[in-house]
Amino acid sequence: MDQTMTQAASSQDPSRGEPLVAVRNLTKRFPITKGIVLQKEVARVHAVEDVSFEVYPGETLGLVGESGCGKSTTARLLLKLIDATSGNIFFEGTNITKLKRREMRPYRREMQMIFQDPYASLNPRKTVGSIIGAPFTIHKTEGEVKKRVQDLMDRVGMNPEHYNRFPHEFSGGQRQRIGVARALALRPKLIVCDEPVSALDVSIQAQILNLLEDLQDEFKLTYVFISHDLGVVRHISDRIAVMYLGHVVEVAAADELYQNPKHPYTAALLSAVPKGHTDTDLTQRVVLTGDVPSPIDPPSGCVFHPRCPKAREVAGSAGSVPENCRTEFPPLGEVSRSHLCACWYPLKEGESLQKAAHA
Amino acid sequence: MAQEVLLEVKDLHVHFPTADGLVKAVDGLNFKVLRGETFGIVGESGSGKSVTNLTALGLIKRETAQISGEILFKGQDLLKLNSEELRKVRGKELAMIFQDPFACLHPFYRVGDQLVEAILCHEKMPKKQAAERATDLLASVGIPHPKERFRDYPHQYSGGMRQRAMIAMALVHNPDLLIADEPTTALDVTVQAQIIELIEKVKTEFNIGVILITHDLGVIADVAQRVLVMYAGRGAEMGTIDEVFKSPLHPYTWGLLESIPRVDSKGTRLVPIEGSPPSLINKPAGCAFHPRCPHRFEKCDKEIPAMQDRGGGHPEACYLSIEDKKRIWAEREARRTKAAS
Amino acid sequence: MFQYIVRRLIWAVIMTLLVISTVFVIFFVLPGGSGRNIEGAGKCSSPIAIMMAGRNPRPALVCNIVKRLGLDKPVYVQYGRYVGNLLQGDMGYSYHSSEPVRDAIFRRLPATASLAIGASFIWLVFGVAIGIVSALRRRSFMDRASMFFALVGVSLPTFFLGLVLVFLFDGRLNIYNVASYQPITSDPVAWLKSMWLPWIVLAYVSMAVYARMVRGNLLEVMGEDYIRTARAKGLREKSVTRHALRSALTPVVTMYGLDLGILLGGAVITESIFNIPGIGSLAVDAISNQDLPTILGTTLFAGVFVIIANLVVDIAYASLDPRVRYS
Repeated sequence: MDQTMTQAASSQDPSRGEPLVAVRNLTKRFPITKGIVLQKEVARVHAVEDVSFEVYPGETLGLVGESGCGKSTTARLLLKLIDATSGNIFFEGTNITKLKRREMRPYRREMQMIFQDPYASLNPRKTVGSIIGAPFTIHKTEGEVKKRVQDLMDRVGMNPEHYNRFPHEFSGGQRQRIGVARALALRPKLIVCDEPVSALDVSIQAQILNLLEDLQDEFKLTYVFISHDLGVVRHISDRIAVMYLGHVVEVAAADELYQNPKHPYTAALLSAVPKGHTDTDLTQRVVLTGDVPSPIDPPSGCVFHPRCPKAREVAGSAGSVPENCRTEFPPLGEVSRSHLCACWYPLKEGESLQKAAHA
Repeated sequence: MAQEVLLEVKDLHVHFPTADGLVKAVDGLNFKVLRGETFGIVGESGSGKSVTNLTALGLIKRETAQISGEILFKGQDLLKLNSEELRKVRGKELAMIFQDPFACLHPFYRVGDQLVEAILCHEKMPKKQAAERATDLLASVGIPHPKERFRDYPHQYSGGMRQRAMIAMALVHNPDLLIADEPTTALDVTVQAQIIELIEKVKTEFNIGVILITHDLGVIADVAQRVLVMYAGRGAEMGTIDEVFKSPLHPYTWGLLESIPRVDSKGTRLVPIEGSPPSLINKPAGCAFHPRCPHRFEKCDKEIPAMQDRGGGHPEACYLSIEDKKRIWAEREARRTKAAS
Repeated sequence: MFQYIVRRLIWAVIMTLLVISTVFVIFFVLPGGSGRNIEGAGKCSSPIAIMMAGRNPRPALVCNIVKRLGLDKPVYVQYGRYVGNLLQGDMGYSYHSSEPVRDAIFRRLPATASLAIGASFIWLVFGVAIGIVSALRRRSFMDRASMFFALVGVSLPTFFLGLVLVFLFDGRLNIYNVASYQPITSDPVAWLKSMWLPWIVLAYVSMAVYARMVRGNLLEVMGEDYIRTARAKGLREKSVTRHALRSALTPVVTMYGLDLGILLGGAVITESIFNIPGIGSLAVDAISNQDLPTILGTTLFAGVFVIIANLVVDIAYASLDPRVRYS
């Protein structure tokens, strides 16, 4: 099975060594059933479709996209919180996709998660000490749990004397620190952060982002960082994967992606972000029309084609798109070094989508 | 500028007595909104930005709150109106849209009927005529197939469409002032851009004033002409977008600007504001920001600084001398550009 | 919507079959030896037959019963016969009175229906009204008084309240007469005189529960964003309240339907206390008489009523909440 990983890894970058996590053709479809006695599957939510990427040790891979693009499902698949419909997940070269619960246990402690809503993910009846210390008892690590917990609290910027307090006694930012400490307790290799700062005020958000960066340096952590906030993702990520309707449409180094987006969706997404105190003119913004289509009945071919300004430009009229955009999903291929894009007509260097949209 | 002042808030205080003590949600706030402008209010949760506007609309129950000051809307003090007089202003001259479009429409009534209801509660006309007007409005805010969509229920709309419907509902009586409270926070980036564009279009087309409340400085910078930065129920700084974002004078504004990861450049290390926002019950003495402020000095915990122009060109509420402010901001900027390169 | 109703209908039929089968298994398949053995009955010593044959039966009688009920046949044959009979409306004959069980139940239905419909009407009207007033005038004297009244209600068991009131109104004040039930058809005034106290007793607890539920729902809904929207667009407070009630009262419809369905199957305690000849007291009598066909009949009857109530509630809910209708 290890062979499969190397074979499929066309995109793998040999200079970076072995990936910590590699995902190959991962697909998750949630069935929608109807029927009274016999449940018949009438449709499927195409949550994640044929997704492949790898995460290298010590890096932060950002996963961005709008709601319903499958980024959170991908995270849950990665940690095996849900089972994939098909595809494989490799952790340090071992295929963990089919592992049973007990076989999975040693891998579980290597992979932790930080959630969006710090309050909802903390048991309100437990003290902070027992929340952070829980993994120690679950995984039967002996030693003075309390001391280790207090060390952790100190490390994430909490007062260790607050060991016996309850989650509701803390502010949002402090609660997220508890979540970070809990994830950190077993010294995992990989932490999946699912919108960890979305619920926080900007001034607190910056504190948590800095904390995550410090911890990464100190403990050589690898992050998969999920967010819909493109500023936050750019700030923290080394590489970024952009998702749309279950597909990864573009993967590149953070700076490369933001300066030189190849996929029309990425370009539109970036142009839609309010730039703040720069002098960009509103008229330069590419406003995509319509909403994201339903993942139950995704468009044929390239899932982005009904909203794609570039496809219209190629076809030369506002109402039509090229044949291949409508019929076939473009493979995620290398358009330049370490820059993958799934588009039949990727944007050229310096080509801006604005022109495409207005043409 | 001889623009008409639509809304003027003077020394507004909104306090809520609770079992734990008096929550001072708004504590001495002043600002003006002109016709034809988008006035941004930024601040973090608990800064009082939403309470201020709910108070203006009379949506804060007067029995549960202690309100003082004045909210002059086209010269008339909204705080002096009785509930029926206030109701006649609400939705007619002063309209509001809210953050979560998923929760803001009644799930049991058709979207069209909710619009018709909004029309009929201020204006007598045959129901059929109101329905036609509602359909036209749905079309004008960019809802495709407005005739069919009129008969749909809210759950059949997407998030962006619901926010469009909310905007249509706010516009039924051509209000003079539209208050948008975090109108795009619950929406995806691409949909957010559509809604912001729509609000801008509406503002120009109807020549109205817009108050845009948000925690997203990017949105404010993109669409507002003037901005008020709020902290713990008071104004920290107010001015044009360029004034506040290019030459900010208040340490809290500096902190905000430096905490935000930027999309347009690879960030260096963020400089967060230390600590967390204060409790509104036991506010720090003097300037409420002083415990988190790296530039505080003796005077800061003694007296609350008034919001005034101290020579920097726009009003702010910080005791530092104008020279110090300019020097510190220049230093912080330099440090940032140096780190970035 | 049509599809939805059909789906619900099919469900109701399946549930009914399930209830029938469960009852069959409990009453005919599960009973083992009852400890009594009839000398000389031999092959015929089916525990059910012995139970049905009454005290000290002759072996011939037991054998006769076994043959008549087909208890010597395989279980599936027995089941087929049982279901077949039920479908023809035949629930067997009461051992005690030899009357067809179906007739006994239908004869007693008006009493139970008078009790259930009357009481549920009272608790619905008063419970909802008290709930609304309390919520709209929150923290007023009215609110506190009604919530105290409701708290007493939910804490008082029906049998206790019933016995106390009977003692008070019948024993002391002499303005009510237990066991005076008259059908509405024969004498409406006497009927009303006999029913008012049982109605109050039966209604009080539910009224308290409904008042608390309506108050809680309404307060919650009043805090919803769409109520704020309704105010923000300038609706009169009357219309705002109407919006809120539409959401707050929808769950009441569900609860009311189910409660009424359960009651129509027999209000055991109230009927017993007030000596009302309803289905509940029929069931109680049947149990003490070991009258198997009647026990079976009343059980099935109650079950079917609950299923019908569920069906009605589901359909009513769908017509009230578009989100259910369109999914």
